[in-house]
Amino acid sequence: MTFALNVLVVFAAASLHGAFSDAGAQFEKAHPGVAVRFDFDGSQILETQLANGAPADVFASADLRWMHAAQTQRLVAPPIAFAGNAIVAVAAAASHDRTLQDLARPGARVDICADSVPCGRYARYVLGRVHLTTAVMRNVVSNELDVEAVLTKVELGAVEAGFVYATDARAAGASVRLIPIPHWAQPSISYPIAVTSGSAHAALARAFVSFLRARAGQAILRKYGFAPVR
Amino acid sequence: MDSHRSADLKTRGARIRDDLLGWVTIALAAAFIGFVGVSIAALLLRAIPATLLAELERPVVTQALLLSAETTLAAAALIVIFGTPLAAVLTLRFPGQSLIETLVTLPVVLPPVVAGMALLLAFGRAGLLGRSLHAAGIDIAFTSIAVVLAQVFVAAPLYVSAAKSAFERIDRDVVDAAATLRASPAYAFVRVVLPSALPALWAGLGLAWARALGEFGATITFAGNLPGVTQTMPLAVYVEGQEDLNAAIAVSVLLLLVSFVVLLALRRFAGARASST
Repeated sequence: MTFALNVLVVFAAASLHGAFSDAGAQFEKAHPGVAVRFDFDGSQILETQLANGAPADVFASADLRWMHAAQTQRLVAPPIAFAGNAIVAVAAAASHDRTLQDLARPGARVDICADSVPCGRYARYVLGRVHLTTAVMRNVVSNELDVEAVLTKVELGAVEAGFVYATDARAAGASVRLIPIPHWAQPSISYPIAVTSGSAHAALARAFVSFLRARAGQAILRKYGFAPVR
Repeated sequence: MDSHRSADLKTRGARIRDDLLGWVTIALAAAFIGFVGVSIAALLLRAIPATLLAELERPVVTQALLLSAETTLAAAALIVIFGTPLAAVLTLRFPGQSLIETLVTLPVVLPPVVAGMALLLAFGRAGLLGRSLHAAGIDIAFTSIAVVLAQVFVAAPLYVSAAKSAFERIDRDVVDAAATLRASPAYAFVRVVLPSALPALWAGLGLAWARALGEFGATITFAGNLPGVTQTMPLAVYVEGQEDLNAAIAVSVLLLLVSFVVLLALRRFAGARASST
């Protein structure tokens, strides 16, 4: 009889969709009577919702910026890193673009996250490093509010290419083609996670964070292409 | 005497019942006005007049305001041009009439993001029609035209159904009288049906325009979110809100004021037309 079902609410960056859904199921198996519910969205949106009293137990952000924002408002306990990622460009399967330089050609349509969204900030960092900011930004057709919107438009062939995480490109498989980004142009991408100050299940929330950082959780994250914590 | 008294009592009972019904009606209406009013007031109270004016000087805001004005005007024009004949056709009885009516009303029920996806799958670079259009050198998605199409797609049904019921309310006798005076059906429609339906058409157009102005989901999916090109007011509010909530509130209040003035003007105009005809 599990009438008193404990519901753990996890606010997680959109890029964690696949890995966290999987991890949540495993965590539920290891903790009978516990249900993990996720809200996947842009980290900036989740932070705003937390600031306005959204009832979450755990917050996992795709960058330090929004975690810091939550921290300075005392919305969360001190965070800890649990995964790393990389930024890549993906081209539609039918596209002829092979390199980052190709995305600068006239007529190429490029999709990117908005500047306020972690994936957008990382993508702009890469463009700055390879000195293609002006040329590629000229071809940008939209500023998406989360990384999944970018991937969808590339998969649909509505744009030639877009900037997403390595984990998204991996999940998309053959529906997109990878345009590599040199290692030296990569930003350092670290995902912080924290238990919220208002959590009604703080012990359970801490257990979820520990689970992600332990071997089982790290194995799931690795399966989805996330880098281990350094 | 007694029967007189009981009749008096009866009417008194009825009067109390009517009074009660009246008060309940007013209370329910007031509760609803309060519900909407409190939310709008909360927004207005958070907005600082000084920031409001400062926001109007930021290019991202003025661009969005201008783009919203241009695209919703274009959308309203297209809705009238294509929606009025459609509404007229829908008043006729023919096989498949209800099927077509349901089809054209469908966009109202669709979640806007799904509507945007449908438009992208149709007119996107790899879409059903978009592929051939692209080969011909025409790209619609991610342009200001896409913004207008998204608005027309989701807002037109509101006008069409208002226009259709307006046309249906026109007295058949008047139209028949026009016919006996040897007016052609087209002439009767333009000179008899259209003028008397006009107030309802204005009201329907106001509703459709308001829906177009607030459009978000279909726009960001089909047209994208690029300042000056496809970033309308609702998109600007949302994107600004991620960085600076106060700026977003200021922009929202601007949007609110513009909408309020236009809707009020349209209502007055429609009312004036109604009393003059």
